[in-house]
This record gives sequence, structure tokens and C-alpha cells, in this order.
Amino acid sequence: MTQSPSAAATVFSQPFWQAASEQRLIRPWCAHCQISFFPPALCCPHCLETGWTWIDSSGIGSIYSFTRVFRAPVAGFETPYVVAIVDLEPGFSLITNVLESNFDQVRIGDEVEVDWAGSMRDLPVFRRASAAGRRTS
Amino acid sequence: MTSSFPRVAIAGIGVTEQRKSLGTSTLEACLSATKMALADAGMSVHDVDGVMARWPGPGGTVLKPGSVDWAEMLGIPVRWVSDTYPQGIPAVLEAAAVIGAGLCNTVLIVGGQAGEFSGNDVAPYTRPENEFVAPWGAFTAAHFAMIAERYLHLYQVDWSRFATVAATIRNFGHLNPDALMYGRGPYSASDILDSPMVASPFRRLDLCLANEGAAAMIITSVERALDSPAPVVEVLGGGCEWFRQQYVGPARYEEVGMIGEDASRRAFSQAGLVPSDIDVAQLYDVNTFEVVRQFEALGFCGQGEGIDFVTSAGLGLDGRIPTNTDGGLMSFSHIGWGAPSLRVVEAVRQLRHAGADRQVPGAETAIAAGAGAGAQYYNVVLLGRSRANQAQS
Ligand SMILES: [Zn+2]
Repeated sequence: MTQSPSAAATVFSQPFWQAASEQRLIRPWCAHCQISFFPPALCCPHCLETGWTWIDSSGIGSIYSFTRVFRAPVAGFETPYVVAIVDLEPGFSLITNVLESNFDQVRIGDEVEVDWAGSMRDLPVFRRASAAGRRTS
Repeated sequence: MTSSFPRVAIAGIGVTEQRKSLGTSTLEACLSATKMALADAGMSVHDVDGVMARWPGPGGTVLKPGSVDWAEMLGIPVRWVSDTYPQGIPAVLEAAAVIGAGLCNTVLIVGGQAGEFSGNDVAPYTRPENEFVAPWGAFTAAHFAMIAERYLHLYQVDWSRFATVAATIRNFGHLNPDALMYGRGPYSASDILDSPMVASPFRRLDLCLANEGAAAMIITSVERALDSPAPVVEVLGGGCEWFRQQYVGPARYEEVGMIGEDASRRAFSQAGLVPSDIDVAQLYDVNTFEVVRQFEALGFCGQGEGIDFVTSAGLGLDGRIPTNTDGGLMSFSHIGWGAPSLRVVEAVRQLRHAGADRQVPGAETAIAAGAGAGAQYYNVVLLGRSRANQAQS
């Protein structure tokens, strides 16, 4: 994948995209409930408090599930690519991409870490931790 | 046990030609379906005093959803209007509720799509523009695919066993002259497994169509339905579940994999039936996996046992539970917001014993369903050939 259609940010999500432009992954955090939630909204869905804040995510998570996409929904995506749900901190999961040249090696449960991609804006994507390890070794 | 569910019937059904491209507007297709449903019910538009429909324009109000614009165009005052989420089963159940409460007597449900998207693009409703979905190239089939992949991971089921489900439903469409995919088979499981991959594990022939057409239904009291020419088909019970808005947050199998279980328990309880009483199923076959999942959620078998159940029961005309006898969304038609009504319409045809070559002999009870796990909502209705038919004849 390369080209990414933009979809409008909301008043709630602007900080997420602002941080992304600095390649920082942040998450909504409810101090009252001691948990994250996503997507950002007016209130925490557990206690309905509006006074939640943004905090850093570790950027390290695991693949909850994924699909290998061979036919993109719109023009601009280079196929094939992996769409995944990545679980980060409790309550914080993203629909994202796993960048992996060897497609067939992606597995549910794989540990992944955040990277940044996207031509229209910085998007959090993920690489398998073992793959990253191999690159540096 | 006496059910408290209102005694209402589906008195009229109307389905336009279903095609890749109709060469008309959504509004005109919906009007055609409306006229067909009224004729089928033996009613005039003046019998209608409730409308459950989305106003597609052109013309009409800017006050969305504009369901009351239907009353304006049809030239009738109404006692109830609603834009249900979506058409199909939630509309049938809302109609039952408002008729049962005496708020109106006869409801028109209509929906469909035409002239809205070109032949080769993915339909607009399958690729929501949400900021946390679209940028990564996720779309409807991908959300469902991630549910299916998680299921296969948890239950360690061989995916190739699912291909028979798609082949069976597509073979119904192959034999249905009204289906988009009429004459395009017959299909074997290996045809499904040889089709190009779209979003693993789904191949092209695992996935539903996206096309044009409209469908309408007339809901009224059982008493009034007895004046209609066709045998009366009663609504016996139903239920809906919405877990989250569709295609915004990730759909997780552990959260939504059994969506429909609660709705169907309530539906079966209202109807005084159990799954083994059901003669024919019209499920929401947006993909092969969903058909199998729904048998689990609807209580036909245990969680994780779906493929064993459908393999031993059989979904064809000679099977224990003939399913999607018109070819379903995969092979008959998928018309977006109007598609859920198509599943109900085919159930009504079967219970009228008007199924022609694909009639399930002596069908007395049917289940129809809408939506699915990847969409994070689900709805179900149980229908029966009314005993009032015998009383009358
Ligand atoms: Zn909270």
C-alpha cells in the first residue's frame, strides 16, 4: 500500500493526527478508569467522563487478526497488502497495516512495533518485531 | 405458551428486476417495487398509513432522513414514518410493533439502489470513509475476513471445507432465472477455491454481489392480510442486536462472533419454536464464513461446530435446512440498504409455496436474517405459514 485516502479528522481525533505528524503514537486515556479506549470520542465509554487525556503508546503490540488483501477497495493501494487489527495497551487497538515483504510469515499473535508510512500523511503502521530484529542484526 | 408478539403478516412482496445496472434511478426502482408489492397484496396505496423507507431523492425535503417524502410522493397521509436501520428485518419488526400498538394499520417497507455506482467499483457503502479505517485500505470484506481469520485460528477449522457452502448457495442462483448469476454455474467446491483471492480467506466466489434493484413489502394485521390473494405469512417473532457502529472500531470475534444469539433466543421464544422446527433459512450471506457463523449464533449448533453442522445437515434442496434458495446475496442480488428485504421476500415465497423449482416441499416455518459479525450488528425474524389460511379455506 502507498496512497492513502484521507478521511476527515474530528475535533476529538485532531491530537492523534497531530502527534502522528511527529511520528508519535498516542492513545486516549481515562485516569478515572485507568484504561484506554478507541476511537477517541466525547467521553470515556466506561464512565462517560469527558475529562480524559492523551498519553503515549508504547507502539508495541500484537496481531489480533489480519487479512491479506489482493483487491483494494479504491485505486491508490498497491496490492497485495496486509490489513490487521493490532492490540496495543488495554483498550487501545488499531486497524492498520503490517508491512511485511514475506506475506506468508504473518501470524495471529505476532509481536509488532509501530513504524510510519503514508504519502498523504503519516500513518501508524506496524512491522513484525522479529523482522525488525533481523534487519538490525 | 401464548406469545405476546403482535399478530401481523407480510401481505405483499414486490421485487424489481435485479441487474448489475438498471438504467434507472433508486427512486424509480423503489416506486416500481412499491407498486408490485401493493398489487401482490391486493391493496391500493390508500390502504397504506405507515412508511418505513429512506428517501433517496431527487426532490423532497432537506430534513433527513425524509421518510415522510414518500407520503408526499405517493399522495397519502400517513400515521407513522421511519427510516429503519436498515431496511428488511428491523423494518418488519418495527412495523409489527407499531401495528400492534395501534399506531397505524398497514406499513410499506421499500428500499434499493440504482444508478448510484458504476459496474466495476466497489459499492460506496462497502468502503466507509472513516478516518481510522479508510487510510489503511480496510473495507467491508476485510473486516469480515479478520473475523473469519480469528475464528479459524481459534477453532483450527480447515477453510477449504467452507467452499461447499458457497457452491450450494451459488447453485441455487444458477437455477433461478431472476438471479444475477443465473446460468453461471453449476459450481463445485473447487470452483470456489480456484477463484481469485480478494481478502484472505475470502476468494471472489466467497463474497456477495453489489448491484442494482429494489424490493418492497406490505405489512399489516393477520386479519387484514386474509383479504390478500396469496396465502398469509405471519411474523412469529424477531430480534435485533447492535453492538457498535459498523466499520469504525475493529470487529473482534470474541465480542461479536456470536452476535445474533441473544436476538434469536428471544425470537424463538416469542414464536414458541426451536431451531430444529425451521424448514428453510434465508441468511445474510455476505460471505461464506458468515453463513456458517450464523448457524452457530442462531442456535442450530454449538459455537465452533458450524462447518460440521452444515456439512452433515446439507443446505441444498435435499438437505435438512435448505438455505438461501434464491441464490442469496452471493448469486441472486445484493442491493445495499434494500438487500435485507430480499432475504425476507424469499422466505415469504417459500412459505406461500410459490418457490417453483426451488420450493422446499411443505415449508411451514422460515428464518430470515440480516447483517453479520463484521458489521457488528445482526437481526433475525421467524415467519410461518399462517394457520388462518386453513381456517379460511
Ligand atoms: Zn472512564
